Amino acid sequence: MISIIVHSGEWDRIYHAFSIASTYSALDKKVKIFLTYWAIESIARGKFDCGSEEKNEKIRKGMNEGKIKTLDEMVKLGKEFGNVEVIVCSGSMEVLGIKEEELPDWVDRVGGLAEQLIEAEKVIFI
Amino acid sequence: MEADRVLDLSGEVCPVTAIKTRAEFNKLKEGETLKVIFTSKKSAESVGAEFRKNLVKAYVDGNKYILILRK
Repeated sequence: MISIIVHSGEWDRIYHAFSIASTYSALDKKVKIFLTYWAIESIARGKFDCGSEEKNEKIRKGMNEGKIKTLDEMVKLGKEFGNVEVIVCSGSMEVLGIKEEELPDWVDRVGGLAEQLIEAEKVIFI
Repeated sequence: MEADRVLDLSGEVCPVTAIKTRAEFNKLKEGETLKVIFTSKKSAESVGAEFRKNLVKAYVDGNKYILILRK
């Protein structure tokens, strides 16, 4: 199982994590995406920030051209292969005061770091 | 008929092209063929490389890049 731990709240980094996960899934690899800290805040509050106005414009242009999808579309592309699970870090949610009902429907469940790491043959940190 | 199945990926780029091609390819039975249409040359090249063992034909048709893959 591949573990992708997303700490960053920057939209393009979260999208990239999902692209990696979906591609691994297409290649028949089990993937667990573990969203923590600012990544949770971004998806719960629907924040779009790629770190600078210049980056935001470039990513928006890519989206308008249909080359960059929404987070929802990209994670569901991977889920179609049945190899992707999206887990949100319980500790971070408490620290940030985010409630489960604020999370998008493509989040599978809340979980812990140990479970994320125990079977991981590879960990990618974003 | 050029192929058993057709997948039009016009307007799409990597990694969506790689993911969607893999999804469609998985649905093929042994010996069946898949025609994949791209408008992105780079994506066509990278999918072509990924499926090089299954690549039967590759050609350009106007602004489209076509791959024929066999399972």
